[in-house]
Amino acid sequence: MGKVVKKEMPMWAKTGHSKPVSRREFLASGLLPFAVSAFVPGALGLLGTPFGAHAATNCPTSSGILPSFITLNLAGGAGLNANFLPRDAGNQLLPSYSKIGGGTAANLVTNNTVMPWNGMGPFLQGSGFLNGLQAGAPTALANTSVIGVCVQSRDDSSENPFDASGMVFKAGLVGSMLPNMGTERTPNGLSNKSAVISPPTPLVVSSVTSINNSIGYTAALRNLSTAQKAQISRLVSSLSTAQAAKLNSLSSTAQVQNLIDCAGLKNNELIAAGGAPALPAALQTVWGVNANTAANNEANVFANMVYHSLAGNGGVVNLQMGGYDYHDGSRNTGNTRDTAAGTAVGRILESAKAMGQKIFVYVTSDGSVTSNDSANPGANWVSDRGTGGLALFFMFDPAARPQTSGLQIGNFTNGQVANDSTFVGSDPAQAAQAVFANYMKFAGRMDLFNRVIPTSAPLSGAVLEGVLRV
Amino acid sequence: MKKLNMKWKRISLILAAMAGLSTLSFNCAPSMFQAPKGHGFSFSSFDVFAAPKVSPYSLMTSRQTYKTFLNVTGQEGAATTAQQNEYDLRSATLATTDRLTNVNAPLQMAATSLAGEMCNGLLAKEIALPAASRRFFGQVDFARSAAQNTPAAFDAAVGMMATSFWGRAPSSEESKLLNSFYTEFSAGAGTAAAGTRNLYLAACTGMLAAFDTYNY
Repeated sequence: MGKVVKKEMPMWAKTGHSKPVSRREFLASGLLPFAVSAFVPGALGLLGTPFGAHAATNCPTSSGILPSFITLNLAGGAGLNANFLPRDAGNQLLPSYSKIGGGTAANLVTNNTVMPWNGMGPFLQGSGFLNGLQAGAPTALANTSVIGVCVQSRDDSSENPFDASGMVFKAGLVGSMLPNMGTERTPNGLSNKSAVISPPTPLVVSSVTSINNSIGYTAALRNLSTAQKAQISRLVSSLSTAQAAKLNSLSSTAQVQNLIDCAGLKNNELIAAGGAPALPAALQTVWGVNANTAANNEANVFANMVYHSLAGNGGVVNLQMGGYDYHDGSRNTGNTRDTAAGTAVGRILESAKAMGQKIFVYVTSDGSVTSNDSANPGANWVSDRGTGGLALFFMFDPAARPQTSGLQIGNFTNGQVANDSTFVGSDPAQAAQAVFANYMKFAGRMDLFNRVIPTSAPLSGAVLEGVLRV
Repeated sequence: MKKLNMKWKRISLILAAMAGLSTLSFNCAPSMFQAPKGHGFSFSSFDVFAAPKVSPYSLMTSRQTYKTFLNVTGQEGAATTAQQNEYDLRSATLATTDRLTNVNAPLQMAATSLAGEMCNGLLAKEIALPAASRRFFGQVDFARSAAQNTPAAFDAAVGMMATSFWGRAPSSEESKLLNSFYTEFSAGAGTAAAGTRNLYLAACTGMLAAFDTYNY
């Protein structure tokens, strides 16, 4: 029988106190002096370290090494497969899309002018999503490519691990002013789960005010002059730097001093500059907003989040739209919501064009829907059908339309379901990894890919080559 | 014999009641050790026997930061609506776990703005009291301008705030920083009494939002 190693009970628990919350409680429990003397004997001598001896180095910056990564999650299970037509393993149309609202192949018409590949159009002519794309991106689509990811997922669920923002963050996409952002109050800012790695806690953006407040002081400090606010910022920064010196002697925390220094430097700049930059006029036009638009208007919120990402101010952006559980026995609701989603994606792409930046847009949904079995496109949506799930990603490059080697990753079967025998087919987490791999390829930074997905992982070698489409 | 049986019956009943009470107390015991409910914190036997962290320092989580700010400024249990609103606005940007690497610019910005509202509440409370009854700003005359108040009054306030916020007196480095701040801020505080309030609002905010208030 092996030796059992007893873990040490914290002192506050030994003495029967509750976990300290206040500094007073920490002092009363004896935790603070005990912790310092027992674990950091060498640090006691650092209390006299001269202020200013440590200079911040390697502060995270948006150096432009990675393009913006925007996720749009359509909560409820959108019928993406009735807009972007999934194909078989040979890239040919299925014989029929009768159960997924597309009719038979003989009765449907593809749009072969928007983002075609080898002469094949990915979208159903007249589909809501396509109509929205064209309305939202009147000029950007010419420099955009799209790839479908054929993946089954759970219907009406927040458990699907589609989110790639943690992987993108780890690869190095960091904002200079703002953290990664999301629209939902969840660990990743969306109603789904993160694949492989969880991102840092996002800034939850429910209105433009959330962003502006993050780049400035509010409440009681609001009425002080800019100079006075700057003095407060410098005081916080300099005191924190002095106080963090105790961490330098510990290998486990030495980098924290630098984080604190960098945080102070950044905030000093922001406060001195007077707060958040305003949404440029060009993007106001793209999104149809102006100075009088309500701060919590969805278009206004999305516009500002996307802007800050494209400007390098913010990191990964996770957006969510609701109302996609639209199997109400009609097609009207679904078409309206699909158009709204396409419009949002189109506007994101058009924003990138307006700012002359590359962008990667990833569209996900929890499951999908099924229609009455009909030979004609446009049948009503009647129930959930996660086996027919699909994700999409769009890549815009102002220099030229990205070249791709296919229309989709994985494929659908003649049974009109995602083929679950492919790497992506049965696992949203693997689908997210495949999307991430394509993002890194699009960014021209496959050297950073293995920082996140090790070479020992399943997504490597021939499997990795098999999912790359860029 | 009948009396003896009645006696034993009573004893048995009393013992049964005590056993029941003991069981109930034991089962409810974990809640007695539970800290205020908050964001990202829960007490469990796993936590009690958790291995010591590699780092001996931790960051307070969002809710812990809020509670601590209230505690150390003497406003525990009396949060104002403005303070609650500011916390609601900032909570997502404050730390969700106790890892020190959560520190970043938005977190520091959020902590400072929240500290500002806490200090605003503290000042409102103390200004309403006679000077002798104040805990932090006993030597400050809020009816006079910053120039008409003394550096000694500032030093005294700083000492009290440091003890409460950081659990210790300010170090010599910190004192130098605060004195520089005092000189610079006072010079631009103007001749009105409002300048004094702004000076102490700023000093309190700066100290409350400093790193040592929300790490342990």
